Amino acid sequence: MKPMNDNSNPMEIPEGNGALSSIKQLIFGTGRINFSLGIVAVIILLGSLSVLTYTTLTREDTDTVTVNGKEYAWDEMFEDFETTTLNGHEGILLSDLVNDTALKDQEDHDYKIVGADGYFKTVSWDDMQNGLLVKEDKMTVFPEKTKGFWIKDVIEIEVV
Amino acid sequence: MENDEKKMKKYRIIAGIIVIGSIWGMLECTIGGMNTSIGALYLPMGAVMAGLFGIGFMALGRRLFAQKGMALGIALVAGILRFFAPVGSCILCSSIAIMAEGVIFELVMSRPIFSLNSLNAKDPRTWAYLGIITGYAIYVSGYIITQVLTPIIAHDGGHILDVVGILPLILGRGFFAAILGGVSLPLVVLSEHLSIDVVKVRKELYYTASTLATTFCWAVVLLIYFSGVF
Repeated sequence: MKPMNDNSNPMEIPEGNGALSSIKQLIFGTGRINFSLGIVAVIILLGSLSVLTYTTLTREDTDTVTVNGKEYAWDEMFEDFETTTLNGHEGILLSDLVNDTALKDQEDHDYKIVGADGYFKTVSWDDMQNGLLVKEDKMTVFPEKTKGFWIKDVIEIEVV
Repeated sequence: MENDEKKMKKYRIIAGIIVIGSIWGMLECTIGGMNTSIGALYLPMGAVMAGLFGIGFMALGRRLFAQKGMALGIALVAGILRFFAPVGSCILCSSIAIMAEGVIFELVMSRPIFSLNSLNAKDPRTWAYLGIITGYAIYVSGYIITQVLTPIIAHDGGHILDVVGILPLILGRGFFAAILGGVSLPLVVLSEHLSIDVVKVRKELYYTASTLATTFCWAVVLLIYFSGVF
């Protein structure tokens, strides 16, 4: 219960004594709005920095690409597979890579293409037949799809 | 007489929306399409653009014209320019993200407590904290919204739920937008040099300058597109 003779501004943080209070005043000032906004801002910064650190540290090596559990080295892949040109882009057909893993009933599955940073897109078998894995930027190219599907530094094609 | 003044202000607001939106759109189409890294750390340009220029231009529009919906209008113009000038990465995704950023900014900043005349309006800390929150909110929401809407609008068979799997990536990259938002918002809101009363600027000068600036922005984007620089 607030005393009746309390004339303090409800929008202001009551002043305290000591170093902690001085630091608090320096960071948040005297307004309660600053205190609330400041706490939310700090939570956002610390939270996002933690996630950013985690995703950066767990970024995977891009020397190989794993297709349905089978590993291919980027250096050798373009010598082992025939390349195709689609809309001016030259690369290995994604469907050829999947076929090489001896997967059955390809059209009954979807395919999750994962980049080194964790970004991924899921595509159908039809898309795989019209998509390429190109050497430049180690990326996928789907000429008929939006560039959100053009994933750089591909590390895995997972069958789902 | 009062009606004439209102009408004049309305046209000035429209011109302001077009010119600020065009400048933002031009920057999105040029430096927004670049890939940048600091050592092993990938610097997402989407977050940089949202935090620095998105927040900056929308706050500038709000400050100069003190008009609700101004930020949304600016984002719409920037998004349209981004869409019609296909330079850089996913055009549709970027365009939708920019427009979504405008909606979120408008929703946050239209709260009366964040009015320029509100309590603590001159305290840079208030605007820095608000910039961090808004920068993060517009980038993360814009990214999520574009991941959901792009497959629907483009009919390209994308899986809407893929966005759930990449949430850590989006939430982490939002850090850059938050930091930059925390810098750009107080700078734009509190800078003395940006204190212009647009209604008092001479009509001829105002419209000539805004037409020239808008034409320049669209010309730069089209020139880059047709010359194939990117």
